[in-house]
Amino acid sequence: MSNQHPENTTHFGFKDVDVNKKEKLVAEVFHSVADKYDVMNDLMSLGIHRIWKRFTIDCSGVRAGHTVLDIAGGTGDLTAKFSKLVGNQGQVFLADINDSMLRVGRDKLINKGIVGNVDYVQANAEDLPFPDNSIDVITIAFGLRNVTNKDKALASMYRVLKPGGRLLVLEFSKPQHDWLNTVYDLYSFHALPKLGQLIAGDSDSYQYLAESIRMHPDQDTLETMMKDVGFENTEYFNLTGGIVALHRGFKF
Amino acid sequence: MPLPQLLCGVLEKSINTVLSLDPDSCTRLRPLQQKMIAVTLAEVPFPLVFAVSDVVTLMSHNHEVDCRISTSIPDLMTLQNNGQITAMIQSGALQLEGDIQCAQHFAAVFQQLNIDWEEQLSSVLGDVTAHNAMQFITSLKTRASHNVSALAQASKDALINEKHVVAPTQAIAQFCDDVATIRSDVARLEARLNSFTKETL
Repeated sequence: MSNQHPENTTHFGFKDVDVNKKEKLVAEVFHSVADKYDVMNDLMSLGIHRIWKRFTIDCSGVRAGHTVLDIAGGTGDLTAKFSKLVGNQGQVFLADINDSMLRVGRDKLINKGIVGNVDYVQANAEDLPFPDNSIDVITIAFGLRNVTNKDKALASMYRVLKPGGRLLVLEFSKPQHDWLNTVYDLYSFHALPKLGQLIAGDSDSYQYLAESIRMHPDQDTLETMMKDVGFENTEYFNLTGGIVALHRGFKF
Repeated sequence: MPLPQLLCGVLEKSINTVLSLDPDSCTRLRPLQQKMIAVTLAEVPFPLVFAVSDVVTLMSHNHEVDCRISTSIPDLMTLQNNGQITAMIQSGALQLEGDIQCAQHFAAVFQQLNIDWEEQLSSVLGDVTAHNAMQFITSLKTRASHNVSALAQASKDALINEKHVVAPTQAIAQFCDDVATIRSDVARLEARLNSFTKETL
């Protein structure tokens, strides 16, 4: 699939849509799945998403007193861990563009007793409402592919990171083996929408999920995009055969 | 699939579940708030980094830590005996880097763990059944330990007095004394012979 689009259009799954409409369309997807998001994550990944997120935390180098920004934080899995690691002296911002996801995340964290050092921000990753050089670690887990202008979002993240800070992008990527690609295609285009219909009563959103994964830049392309906005010492780690990749870059 | 993260996830869940069974764990964790302790075990190919807050978060990468403990799993068992720590450091079986107090507090969290199993069981089985179950387990434990020591004594008697396979402690001590006497006699004789040889030459 090509990632080139006529001016003022972008992809929404396999469809080309007006740039101004993608945000609204993505929002509708997440409004629809927000309440069943955690259950579906566990079901779709057989719980492996927890291990991918653990790997992200391992690579974050977060310490007590750090300021962490969890973009597209959704239901707050990463924020919950970061909150424990940064302690009372630190701060975690759970940011999401979608108010339904933010509400589910906030309720979940408050019910778990995670309060005091977590703030909730409804924000667009392309225009982060934070001062320059103010954040130690930024994570965006399974969110970048839904952003309309990824280059702009990466540049915005680079701007708010402190020198020495790091960005971690956890995202679906390109499987490294042909056989895995075939199995993965079968699973995501056939089983996933049915699972979505069965559990969340919405197959379209999960069809979009499968399509948006295929349209997302592969490992090397994303690394180049990070370098282009200024990130240094960039690298990526393929997880589960490249189904997911964690990209890491530093601002110096 | 990243195996270290899977293992850390399982361990973290188990540790926090066990700690939550003792209400005093929170108090014991307090001096370690926001500290990071790395435990490197010879048998495990990655470090286990314990980040302490009101719970324990386990990570598997090399982080900047407050204290680093390097040992092996069998030596970890010996660590339960506080008196052995100095000897273990001297023999190289245990290496400590960084804040030693941090390591001591960390060890205390697990050594002083005191779980009221009867209380835990009562929420599942009810008070009376839990009490009876614990009494049964306690008496079983007492009987088992009595039987083990009786069996040990009987085996000792059989091996020493009946089968004569093992020498009694006193005989060994006497043998050692005799060997020492012979050794000193031989040394004396050797000295005499040396001086005699020198005089003759």
